[in-house]
Amino acid sequence: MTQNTPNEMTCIDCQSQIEEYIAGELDTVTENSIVSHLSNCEMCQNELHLAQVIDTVLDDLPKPTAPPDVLREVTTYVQKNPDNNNWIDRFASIFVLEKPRLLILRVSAIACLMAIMIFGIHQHQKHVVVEQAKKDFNYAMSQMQYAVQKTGIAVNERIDSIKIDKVQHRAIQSTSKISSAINMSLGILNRLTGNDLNSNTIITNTKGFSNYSEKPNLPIQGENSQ
Amino acid sequence: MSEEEFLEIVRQHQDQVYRHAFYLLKNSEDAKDMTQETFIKAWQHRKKLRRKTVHSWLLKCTQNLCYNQLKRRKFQVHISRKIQGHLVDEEDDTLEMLLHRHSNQPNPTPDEIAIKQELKQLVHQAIDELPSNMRSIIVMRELEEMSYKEIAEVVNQPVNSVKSTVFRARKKLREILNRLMET
Repeated sequence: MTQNTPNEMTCIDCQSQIEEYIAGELDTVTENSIVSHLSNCEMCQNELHLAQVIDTVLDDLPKPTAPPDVLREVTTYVQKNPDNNNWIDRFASIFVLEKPRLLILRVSAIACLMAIMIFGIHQHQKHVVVEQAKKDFNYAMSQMQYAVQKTGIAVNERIDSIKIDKVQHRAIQSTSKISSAINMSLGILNRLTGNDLNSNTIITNTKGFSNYSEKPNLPIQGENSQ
Repeated sequence: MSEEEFLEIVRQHQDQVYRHAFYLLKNSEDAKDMTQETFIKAWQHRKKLRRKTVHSWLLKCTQNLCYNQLKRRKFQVHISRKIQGHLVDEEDDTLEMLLHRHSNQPNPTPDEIAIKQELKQLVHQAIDELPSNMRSIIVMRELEEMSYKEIAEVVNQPVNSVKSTVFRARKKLREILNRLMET
């Protein structure tokens, strides 16, 4: 055993770190201290040699293989107790994460399906809004025609001398033309799913007319005209 | 996991599982039984098994079964001593016999063979004297050449703790060898 100065490594320290030294797990300072200590200490050199011998012998230990009986016995057991997974287990196995790549594929597929569903629902809602706007507008137009007719009748009844039938007829004709033109426009917008139609605008614009919606069976053009 | 997939796993890992059991129990018959039992347990728990972790699962299972077997042995120690004293099972492959067979390789001189054989037997004796947890880790590290991370998964310990156990085990081996060589 060597005589150590206060800063030098002791034999106990050196021997306790020999394994780490062989494995190369020490930092440079400690490794240098061990090298320096080993160069002066015969006992620690013997310990290092012994550790290296153990290392070699451990590397050279026999590696027995399993007897063939093992596979045979296990195979027999497995065949006697077969894999009886029912459909619930098989369905559950879809969500078992064996490989990260499969997980990514599954998540991507689910995300695509959800995106398609959301897009479809959004388009359907748009269609429903346009259809509703169309109905509201038609109804509002019919109410307008009815109002014009009623006004004409009232005026005719009170002022017999003035015949304003022609005026009334023209007003109804104009209203019908406007109504059919707007109907056609809405039809075209309805067909174009990717149009710039702001359905809220239509609803807002037709709100004034939709107050009539509380009277579902009001007469349309031509009724009660006499 | 289908039957074919499972049997493929058995073929792939049976040697390693057997070796692990063999070095823990030091007896080929017991090691064979433990290997079979490990795979039977694996088949029973096949729904929980994942291909990625099956290796560490199998070794963990083997280790637990072997520890239980060693505990049972401790209770039966007086019986086994009597049996060892009077009966020698010729078919039973002990580690000493295996070491002897393994050393019969061509080329080395008789002196080299004798020294190597003696050293191997001493190392083996030293391994036998290691506590079972250290022995298990040394077998995984030195024989199976598993990484510290893989061993840590099997023994449920942090990697640094496994590392220090390996170093402590080797240090202990040195101490035991020193003692054996003095006697």
